[in-house]
Amino acid sequence: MAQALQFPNLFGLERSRQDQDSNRRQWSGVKSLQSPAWLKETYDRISALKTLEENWDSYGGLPVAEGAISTTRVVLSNLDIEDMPKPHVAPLPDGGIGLHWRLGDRDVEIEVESNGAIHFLRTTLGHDSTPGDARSLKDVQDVLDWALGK
Amino acid sequence: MAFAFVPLSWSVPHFGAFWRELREEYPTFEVHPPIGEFKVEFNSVAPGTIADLPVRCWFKNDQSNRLIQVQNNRFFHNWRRPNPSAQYLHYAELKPVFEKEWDRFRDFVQRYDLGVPNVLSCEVAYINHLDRRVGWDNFSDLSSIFPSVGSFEGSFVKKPETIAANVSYVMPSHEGRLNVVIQPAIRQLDGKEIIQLSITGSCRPASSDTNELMRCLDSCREWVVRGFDDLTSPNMHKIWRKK
Repeated sequence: MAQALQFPNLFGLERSRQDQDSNRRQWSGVKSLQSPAWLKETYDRISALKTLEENWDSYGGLPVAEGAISTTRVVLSNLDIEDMPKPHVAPLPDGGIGLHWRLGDRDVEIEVESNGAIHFLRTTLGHDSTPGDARSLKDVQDVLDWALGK
Repeated sequence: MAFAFVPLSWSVPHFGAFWRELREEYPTFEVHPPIGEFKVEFNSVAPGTIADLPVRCWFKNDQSNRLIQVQNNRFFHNWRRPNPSAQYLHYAELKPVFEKEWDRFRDFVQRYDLGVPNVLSCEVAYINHLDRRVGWDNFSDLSSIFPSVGSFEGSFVKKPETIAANVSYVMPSHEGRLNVVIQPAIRQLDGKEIIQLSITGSCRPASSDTNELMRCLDSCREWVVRGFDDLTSPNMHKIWRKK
């Protein structure tokens, strides 16, 4: 005798199951630009950084590098960010891009350098910050999961 | 291309046994959750023992451009262009490969006494990535790609940020459907913004006879090609060098 444990449809909508199936059929991975809801807006913000010219901050700031833009896009498209709020996106003086999230008393900054290298800084408010280098997307995911208390 | 069939008595060891037969051509594998609804069955006589584990296995070839997917009620063969300069393989070239692999699968199933696959549905799917700034630019205005898609702009709601669509058409004989999915997306490989256009034709064969299954695939493919031509703009056809 076998007992069956039916997996619940956590999304509650048949359409969602179809979308999941559609994504599971994929060989080349894609991420919907509609989820999370802020993703398109953030992508547009990252694209707009291309227009910054040298000395954009009046302190000799470099234009945002194409490598930083493409790496930031790849990072965002490969992370589990469904539960994250919209990040603050900012250019960095050395041509990189910074993403900043604050969740309660936890603060995370991800910095993507012009050559694509990624660093992070995680801070519990009122305590010292912990910096680190991300050697893989998993390292970045771990930092975001920490911010969410996962 | 894919077939869906009545579930076989397929269990975890069969994936390994089947891979042994494919391994020379498909040397790498990945394990994924199955497509469709699935359930985990626990054995109540021996508590804690899983009687059936829903799994789908990918078997990939050396060039990573062909893929076989197997689960207890589906069989897929997929092809993808490994890079933009690689030669495009047409349906006429891929169908014999699918037929060969299906024969190999069916032969395996019979040799292992798993039953004869009773095919419920045949499917042909084309997935296209339409890169932003190649013939189109604005996620809120898809009419340059799909002339029949409206603006979705009202006097109060103004221009939409993005538009997605999931449309199905009934084939006249009611033996199948054409499903068209338009999805704004990001390609994870390079982070580029795309419209992913998935067109899938599926139909129910009258029997599981190979000739009938191949006829169904041809019918699905015709609907996919004609649907694609109908729904996409002449300007985009030019860009894709489509005659």
